[in-house]
Amino acid sequence: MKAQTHTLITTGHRKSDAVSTRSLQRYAITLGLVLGLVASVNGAGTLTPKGSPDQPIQIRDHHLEVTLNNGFARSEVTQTFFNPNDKDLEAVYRFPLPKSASLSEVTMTLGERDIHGEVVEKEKAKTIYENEKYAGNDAGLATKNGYQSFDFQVHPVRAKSETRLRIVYYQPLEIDTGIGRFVYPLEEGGTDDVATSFWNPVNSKVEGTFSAAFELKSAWPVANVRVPGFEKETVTDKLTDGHYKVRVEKKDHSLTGDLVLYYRLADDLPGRVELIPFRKGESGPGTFMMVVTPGLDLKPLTGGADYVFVLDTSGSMQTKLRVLTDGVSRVLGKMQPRDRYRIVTFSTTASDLTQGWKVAEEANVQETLKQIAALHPGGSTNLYDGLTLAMKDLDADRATSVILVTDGVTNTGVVDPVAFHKLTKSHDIRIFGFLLGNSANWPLMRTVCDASGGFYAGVSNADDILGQILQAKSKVLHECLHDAELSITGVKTLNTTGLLPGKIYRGQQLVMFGQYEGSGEAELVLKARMTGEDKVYRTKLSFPESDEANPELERLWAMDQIEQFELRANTGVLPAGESDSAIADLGVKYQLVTDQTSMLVLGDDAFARQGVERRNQQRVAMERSAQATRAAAPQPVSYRVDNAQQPFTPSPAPSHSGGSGFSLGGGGGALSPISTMAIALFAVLALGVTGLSKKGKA
Amino acid sequence: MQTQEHQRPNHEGCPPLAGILLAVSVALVTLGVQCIHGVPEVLQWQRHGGMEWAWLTSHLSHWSWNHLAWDLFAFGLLSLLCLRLMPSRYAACLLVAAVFIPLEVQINQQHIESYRGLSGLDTALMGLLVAALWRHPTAGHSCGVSQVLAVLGGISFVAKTMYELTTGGTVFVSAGNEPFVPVISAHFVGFMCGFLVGLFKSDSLWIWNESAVC
Repeated sequence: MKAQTHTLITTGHRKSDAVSTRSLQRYAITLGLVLGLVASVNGAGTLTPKGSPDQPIQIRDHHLEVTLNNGFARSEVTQTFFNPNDKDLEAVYRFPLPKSASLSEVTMTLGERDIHGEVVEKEKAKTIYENEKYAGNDAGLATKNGYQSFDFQVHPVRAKSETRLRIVYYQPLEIDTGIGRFVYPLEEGGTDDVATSFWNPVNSKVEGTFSAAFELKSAWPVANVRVPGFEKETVTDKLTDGHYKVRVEKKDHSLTGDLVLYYRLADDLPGRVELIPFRKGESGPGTFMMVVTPGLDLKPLTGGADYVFVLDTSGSMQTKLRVLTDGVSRVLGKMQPRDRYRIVTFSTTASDLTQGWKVAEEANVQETLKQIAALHPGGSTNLYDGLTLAMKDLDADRATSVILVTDGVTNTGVVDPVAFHKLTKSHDIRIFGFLLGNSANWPLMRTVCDASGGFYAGVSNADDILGQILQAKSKVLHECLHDAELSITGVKTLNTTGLLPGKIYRGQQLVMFGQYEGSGEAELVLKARMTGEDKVYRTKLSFPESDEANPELERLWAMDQIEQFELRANTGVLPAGESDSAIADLGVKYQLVTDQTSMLVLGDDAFARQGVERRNQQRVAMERSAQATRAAAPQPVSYRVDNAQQPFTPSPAPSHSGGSGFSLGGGGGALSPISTMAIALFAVLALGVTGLSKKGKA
Repeated sequence: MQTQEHQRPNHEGCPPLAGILLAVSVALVTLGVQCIHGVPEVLQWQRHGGMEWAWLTSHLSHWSWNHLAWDLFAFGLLSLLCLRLMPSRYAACLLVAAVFIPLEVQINQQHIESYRGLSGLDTALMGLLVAALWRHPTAGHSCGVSQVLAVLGGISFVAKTMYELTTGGTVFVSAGNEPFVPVISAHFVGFMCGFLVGLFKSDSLWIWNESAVC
C-alpha cells in the first residue's frame, strides 16, 4: 500500500488546486508513512475546502445523538463549521461509512435557512447540483464513495459565516454473546492513500464542544455500559434495568478516533425470537425484522483441528500489527496439543511464516510467537495471494479454519470478487475475517466468509481489539449448528434476507429482514444439525395487520436488499447491470444513498423548479412522528414472540462468561505510571518522616 | 499512640527474613507466571470457574507486561516500606487482601468475569503503610508528622476511590488498549484490608513475630 503512496499523491492531486503549503503537508505525510515513522491517525467528519483558501475551515462543535432501540440505532450528527476566509467556498464533508448504514436525512443550515435532502438517481443528482451551483444557489450533494465513506459537497460555505450540517442514519444493532456494540466511525482507516492526503489534520479539531448522547432502551436487562477510552468524560445514568442514558462530552477534541459504546446484557437470558413489524394500514406488504438469539448448548471442540492464520502485514498495518500479534498469540495459547497451525503473511506477496503445519505444542508456539514479533509492515495488499497460499497443503481428514486479519483494500494481484468466491468455494474450509479500521473492504470479506460458511467482524481501532478477536475465538473453538435452515409458514413472506444462514456459531445472533403479505399466526422453524443429530426448533409468531411504531424498518429492509444485490453481483450470480438497476430503484423508493443514488440538498423552491418529488420529506415526517411516540413510552417494548414456558431453544443464550479476556468481562487492578509515581512519592515521604521521627526519638 | 509492636527491638530498618522471602517469592512467581505462555489464564480468578485457589493466584497473573510492570514496581516499593515499618502484619495483610478482593469482585462486580493483577495487593500495602504511619511512635508529641502524612495519604486515596466509584471514571488509571476493565473497588477493598490489619490492636494473631535479618 505504502509503495504507491508517492505516486498517488504527486500525480493524483484531487480536484483542488493545491498550493505549496498543502503539497508540503502531503509530502510530509507521505514521507512519514513511507518511513514508517508516523503512526498516522486521520480524522473524518471534516469539511475540506476545494481550492486553496488561506485558512482551513474550523469545526465549531460536533454533536452526536444515538438512540438504540428495537434492534436498530438512529444516529443524528450535527456539526457546525466556520469559514474564516474572506470568500465563499465549495467544500467536501467526508465521513466513514458505518457498515449497513442507511443515510436517510441531510439538512444544511445556512444562516437562518434550513434546506433538506431528497434522494434521486446519481447522475441526475449530480447534474442538478452543478446547475444549482452555477446559478449561485445553495446546494449540497451526498454521494456514497463505495464501501468506504459518504462524501457531501456543500456550496457555498459562506465567508465569515457558520454552516451547520445535520445527518441522520440508521443501522441494525449487533449483539454477540450478549454484548451489544455501536461504533461511531470517525477515524479514516489509513488504508487509502488518496484519502490520507485528503484529511487535513489541522481542521479535524473541534474548537468548541464534542458531545455524544446515547439513549439505550432494551427490553432485556443491561448489566453494564461502557465507552472505552472516554471513561473520564462519560456520565452514565441508569433509569431502569434496560434503560440507560450515556453522555460523553469533551472540549478541544480531535475527530481522529472512533467512539465505541458497549453494552452487556444480563447473564442467563433465555434464547429467544423477537419480531419487529411495520405495516402502514392494510395496503401493501408489511416489513419485518426478526432477531433470533439461539440458546444452544454448543460444546467446545475437543478433537484436533487445523488453523491457518492469514495476516496482513502491508504498510497500512503499521499501528495495528502489535495488537494483532498479541491477539494471535492469545489464540495460539488456547489451542490444544492435537491442533495444528500455520501462519501465512501477505503484503505485496504472500509467504508461509511457519514453513508448513506446526503442532500446537508449547515449544512450537513460543518459536512462532518470536517470528510473529519480528514481523514488519510494508508493501501493498495482495489478499488473493495470501488466501491461495493458505489453502495449500490442506489435510482432507482434518477440519480447517482460516483466521484472516486485514485492514486493507485489496489493491494488488487478483482483485475480482468473483475470483475470490471461486477460490473459497473450491476448498472445504471456513474463513473467519477480522477487519481492522473503517476502510477495510467488508463487501469483499463478506463474499469470502459467507461462501465458506464462516463469518466476518469489523474491529475499530477504538475497540478492545484483543477482546474482539478472543470473542470470535470462542466461536471458532466451539461446535456450531450446521446446515441451518429457517422457514416461516402460515403467512406469506417475501424478499427476505438471511433465511439460510448455513452455520450458526456460538453467541451469534441472526438478524433477518423481510416483507410479508396478509397477517395472522405463523410458525418459525429452525432445522439444523448439531453433533451429527438433526434438530428442529419451532415457535409461533404473529404478523399484525397494522403496526406503525417502527417505520424506519422499511429503510433498513431496503438497505439489506441492496446488500444482497451487491453480494449477488460480487459472486457473479447476477449481472452488474441488473444489480445496479435494482439498487437504484430501491434507493429512490426508500430514499437511501447508494452507489446508484445520491442525496440532493436544495431549497424547497429549487426542488419544485427541478421537478424532484419530495419522497424523503414524507418519509422523514412519518419517522419523526413514530420516534416521538417511542420516546414518550416509559418502558422499552418487548417484541419477543416465544415465551418462557415454550422457548424457541432450550438453553439460555450464551453470555460473556468464561473469561476470554473481553473488556466487559476481564477485570483487574491497574496502576498507571502516574499513580505509581504518586505512591512512590508517598513512600519516600513516609521513609523520610519515619526516619526523621527516629532521629527525633534518638 | 505507642504500641506493643513498636516497643519490640529491631523493627525499623531490619525487615524480617521471612517477610523478605515472601515479598521476593511473590515478585519472582509473578514474573515467572507472565513468562510462561498460557499460565496467566490458568491462574486468573474466573467467575463460574470453580477453582477457589484462583482467589489467591489471580493476583499473580496479569493481562500484559505493561500491566505487570507498574504493579510490580509498586509492590516492591511498598513491600520495602511495610516490612520496615510493620513487618509482623505484612503477610497477614497480603493474605487477607488476597482473599477479600476476589470475594468482593465475585459478589459486587457481576460484570467482571475474570480478575488478574497485583495492584489490589499494592493498595493493601498502601493501607498497611498508612496504618503504620498512624501508629508510628512520635517523639513525645500526641500528633506527629507521620500521623499527618497518614491522614493525608488515607484521605487522598479514599477521595480518589470515591470519585472513581461515583463517576465511573478513573483518575490516573486507564486500561487503554489493554483487554480488561480497571476494577476500582478492588483497590478500595485492598486498601481497607491493609489499613484494618495495620490498625488491629492485638499482635497475638499475626503469623510471625519477626526475626530480623540484621
